[in-house]
Amino acid sequence: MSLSPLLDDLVDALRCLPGVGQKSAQRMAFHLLERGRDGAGILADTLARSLVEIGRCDSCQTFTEAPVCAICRDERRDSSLLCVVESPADLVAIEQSGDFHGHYFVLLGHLSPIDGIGPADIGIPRLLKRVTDNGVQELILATNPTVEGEATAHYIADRLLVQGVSITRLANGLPVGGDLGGADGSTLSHAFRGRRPLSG
Amino acid sequence: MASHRVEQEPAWVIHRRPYRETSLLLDLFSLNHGRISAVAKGARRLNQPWQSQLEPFLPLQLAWLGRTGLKTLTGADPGPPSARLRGNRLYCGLYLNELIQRLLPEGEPFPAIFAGYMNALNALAQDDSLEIPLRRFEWCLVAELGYGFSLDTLADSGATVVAGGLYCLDPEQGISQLAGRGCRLRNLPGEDLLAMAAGDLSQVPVRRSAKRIMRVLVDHLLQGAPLHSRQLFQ
Ligand SMILES: [Zn+2]
Repeated sequence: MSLSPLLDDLVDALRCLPGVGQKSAQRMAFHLLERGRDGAGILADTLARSLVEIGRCDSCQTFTEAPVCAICRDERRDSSLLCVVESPADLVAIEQSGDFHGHYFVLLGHLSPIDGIGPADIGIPRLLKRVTDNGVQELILATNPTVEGEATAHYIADRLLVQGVSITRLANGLPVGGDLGGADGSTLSHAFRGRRPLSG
Repeated sequence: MASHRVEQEPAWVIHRRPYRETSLLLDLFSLNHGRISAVAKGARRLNQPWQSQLEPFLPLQLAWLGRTGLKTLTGADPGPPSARLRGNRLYCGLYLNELIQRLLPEGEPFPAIFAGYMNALNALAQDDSLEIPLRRFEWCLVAELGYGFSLDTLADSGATVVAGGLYCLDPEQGISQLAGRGCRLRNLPGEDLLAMAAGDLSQVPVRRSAKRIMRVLVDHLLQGAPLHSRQLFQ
């Protein structure tokens, strides 16, 4: 018999976090209730506010509570350079490597036919519109070095070939099969500086 | 129950997705066990070679534990070196994988489809034609799943297809002279069917007919479910 149905619900809810199974969820729940009630309050509050206030940037699709994110608003950045990444975590990794001063477009993942994820699901039509509307001169396809990341890069490049935009891909050296967010800063900055035109 | 161990099994990764914090969930197509699912524990840890080895379109020799349901991967060795798929050919590979994932029942071996898949990937990486390997693989899939039929003999009369004649296709019955209730394609030129029966797809009109026919057959196997990789070719 269950001591507290609400406690069971809390444990179940915590299990939505990546890497959290039944045991760790239970440990977290007991910790929050036993010793971390103040922290738990802040967590609950911040989480609720984040869900309401954080949305996607109208321009690049990254997370922001403003209509347009701070990077897209920053006029010192070079708007002729646009870097396409798969996730906000990849954007953060590139920002931390400090080598890039253009703008970003954050796809909502990558093309994955088996999962039923097509071009429209990850915002490719919006990306293409942004490239043609905003006078982008170099499009850097920094999708992950995986089969799906390559297919996504090619799909985007195929649709922009006639438009005279220079299209580049990060240099080899990133761990194949991994994601940019997991690469270390120097590898990433090396790959960025060594970017080359995408070949067919 | 004793755990079931499989070693040195030729296999391909059909699809992979992140699982828990550091693992990968794999859909595999193996020679002797068909399509199976396995978890590769810790595969996404930094410097773990599995991360780059367990990618689609790379021939592998795998080992795993487990009899039913989700298996646990215990070993992965690269198979013979193979050429990489790029550009459009990558879309073709994803199309093959989607067909395998959607159409093959789990846990049943299909060695002929396995061989057909390997041939298709090799041809896609090396040959000029994209279409020919796709059509050959589709036909192999249809035949091995029990939906094959003769391309040069009529299902309704047993007569032989002749060049110059026009024929109908019913995915349940095969090629016929007259359009019955299940007819899905009409006006198929006899000479194209004869060339397909002989395995000769070198002529453009034959490839066009083959594409129409295989599309109907694949859609019939899918029973109306959409094939998402087709979007990539549009
Ligand atoms: Zn933005």
